[in-house]
Amino acid sequence: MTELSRRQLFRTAAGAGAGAGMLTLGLPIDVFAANAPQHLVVQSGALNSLDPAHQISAGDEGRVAILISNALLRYAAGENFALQPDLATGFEVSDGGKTYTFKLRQDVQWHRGYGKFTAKDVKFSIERILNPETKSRNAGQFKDVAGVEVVDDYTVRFRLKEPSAVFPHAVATFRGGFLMSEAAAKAQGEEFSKTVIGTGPFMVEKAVLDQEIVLKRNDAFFGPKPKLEQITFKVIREGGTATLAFDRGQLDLIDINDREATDRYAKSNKSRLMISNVTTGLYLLTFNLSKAPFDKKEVRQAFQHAINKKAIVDAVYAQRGRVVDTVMPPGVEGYTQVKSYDYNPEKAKKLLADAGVKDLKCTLTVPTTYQREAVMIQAQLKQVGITLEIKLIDRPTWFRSLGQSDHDIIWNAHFRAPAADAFLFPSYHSSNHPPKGTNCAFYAGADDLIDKARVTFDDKERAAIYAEALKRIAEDSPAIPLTLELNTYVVQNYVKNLSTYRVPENAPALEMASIEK
Amino acid sequence: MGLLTRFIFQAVPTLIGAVTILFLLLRMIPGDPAQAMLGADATAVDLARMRHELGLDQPIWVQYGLYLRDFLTGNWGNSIVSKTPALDRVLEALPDTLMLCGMAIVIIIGISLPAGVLSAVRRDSWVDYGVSVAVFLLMSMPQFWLGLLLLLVLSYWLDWFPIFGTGDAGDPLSILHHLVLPALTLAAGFLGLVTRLTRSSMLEVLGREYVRTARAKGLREGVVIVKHALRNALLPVVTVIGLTMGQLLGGAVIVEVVFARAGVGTMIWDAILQRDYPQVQAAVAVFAALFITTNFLTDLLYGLLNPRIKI
Repeated sequence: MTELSRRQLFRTAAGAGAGAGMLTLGLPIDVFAANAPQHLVVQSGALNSLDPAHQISAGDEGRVAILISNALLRYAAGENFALQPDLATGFEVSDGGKTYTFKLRQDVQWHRGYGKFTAKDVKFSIERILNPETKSRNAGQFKDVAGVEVVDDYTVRFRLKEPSAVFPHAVATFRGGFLMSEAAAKAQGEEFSKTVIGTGPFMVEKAVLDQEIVLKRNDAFFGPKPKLEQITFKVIREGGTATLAFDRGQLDLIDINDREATDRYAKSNKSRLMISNVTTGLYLLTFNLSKAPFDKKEVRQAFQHAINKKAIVDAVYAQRGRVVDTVMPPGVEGYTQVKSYDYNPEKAKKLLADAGVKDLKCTLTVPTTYQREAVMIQAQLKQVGITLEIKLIDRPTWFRSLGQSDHDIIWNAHFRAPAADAFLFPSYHSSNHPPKGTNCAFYAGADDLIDKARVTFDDKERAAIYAEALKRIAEDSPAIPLTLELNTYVVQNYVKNLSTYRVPENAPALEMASIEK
Repeated sequence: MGLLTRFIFQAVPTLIGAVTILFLLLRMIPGDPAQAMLGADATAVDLARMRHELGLDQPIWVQYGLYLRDFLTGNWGNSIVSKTPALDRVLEALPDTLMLCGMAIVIIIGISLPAGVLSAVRRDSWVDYGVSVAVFLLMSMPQFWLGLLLLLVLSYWLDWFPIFGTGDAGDPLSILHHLVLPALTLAAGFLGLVTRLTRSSMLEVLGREYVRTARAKGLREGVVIVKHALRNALLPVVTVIGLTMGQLLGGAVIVEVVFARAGVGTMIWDAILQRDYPQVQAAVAVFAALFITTNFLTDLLYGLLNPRIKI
């Protein structure tokens, strides 16, 4: 479909005419391009909240939050998720890792004239989330905090209950880490958690969370000034509706999450298919080590050799997926490529035979969304004599199962903050065995390394410890990492400068975009 | 006993029955709001804290008792997700949904009555067969699929209607423009029923003796059909349209989601996915109340149309 509609034809002709006219006048072409309305319309899922105390999704909500608000630290855009200064200019660790002192920027203004950002706002934001009356979902993020002190207007000190080298991630741009204004809280009352006042490049103009969120550029922003004047997030739950609206030019940027649409847009020259090169999420199969025969390492390794991850990625995800061997995604501190188990049914059979396991019958508990992957795994395991029964459940039931011990093997999805500890501690440390936590592998083999990394304050040394833990987990195989699913977007050709992706949203940095029609 | 008193005596127990069934159904689906909110990685401590805050750690009959007390005293609780009063949110979204259902009724009457009358009058002609085929096609299409199909043809290919949204508030034309397709989708499933009913009811009446008498008096055929036949044939049709209103509310859930419209339907959709019990309960209770009320009004209307029936 390459024909132009009458309207497009007119626009193109008029544009060409005007462009040519400007060239003859000696004006640079940019002047013309900059005249297009800088208004981006983006599809979104329904949001629950923009309030840092209540927001939970790093995806849809995080994508809006990072435009409105700042945290003390932020994750670098691009393929390496290092922590960088945001509203803090830097921090010092003292008292053996129990005290963190942050120096703050002095040139930051709250939106809509709520004054200067100071240390008091940091104390207010964190204490508000920790206050039981707030009923914050993100209180757990600051569970190590014993107290927050205002040293002076631009210095704030956190006292922790015990030494922690991973604490900086708690005050980064993830869920509860976004900061709020104390003055605005007092003035706005109930409106406060709705029309969030932040310090970011855009401010909330309208927020009807289940319909539409309109953001306007904040000209008082301390960082580089965005070209876009307005970003509108339209809530459209049905993917089919969104693609029709996109094709009709009523949306500029939409999410795609099925293979058919990906293939279709990959061929289209009217728009660009964008596949995020970063992600903080991966899918795994987690064994229940407290049940025989999954207590035997050889059996788990046999599964590693019996599953053809590449075939699954090719069939289900195509260019939207990557095979993964490590239990956390690349880009996170300490990531290392671990030993890769080649697809080798013969080796798998031999390992099973050596372990004395014959005619193994077991169950895979999996949410309905991942049925296709489960069926492929079932067929692959059959090749090595394993009979896999698939138990399909809905999402909330699955969430609950991850904190229980009924399963043989369970489909797992780890979408976390971009920190090694966030991937390793909840899922592989023995203090989180169900029912206390979600280490539903009942694995305990890397406790020493995970604990040691938590109190290692030298960045290089800590990364090395994590790398070692990852290698050990790969050897022990309490879980089989399967795939990384990369977020996929389609954008109109006239939207430019959207090639930088960022975590934890796993989305393009929208504040850099511009419209050039 | 006054009409209103009787209505209240019938409506209140029905409503309590409805919310009781809903209360139990919601708690029978696996997963709870705490788990839905905290996600896959929730620790047991966080879950327990959240469940305690939400009162979910109480035995179910205590929860039900508290709920019923609050329900009857008009305290319908706060949405777990938005933390604002659940009933207020429903009432805020209700006009959009009612407008959608109202428009659907207009479409049902506007299409089904003429089509039904026409196929009765031209019985066994190609018009009659054509209407029957169209009716069966419409009745057998799932609503979400028909919605997407209408979007594809009327919005995407022909560009006659907007694809999503409710329209600019304060601009009636824009609101109406956004309303047509969703209302058509919502109406589609019921067009068949009402058309078939009008047809058979008309056929029955057309065979009656008073119609023959009217014709024998030399009245014009149009007058015979509209004044003598249709008026009497309408009785069962009105009842069905009245009952349809309640079913339209249910259909609104899917239609609103497909067309990305604001309304109680999308609210229920989100709330069920989030296991936002108070929000689902408030929205469905309002729907149930509307359902009961429209049924009552249908009874009243029936009495007006047919003086032989006293209610």
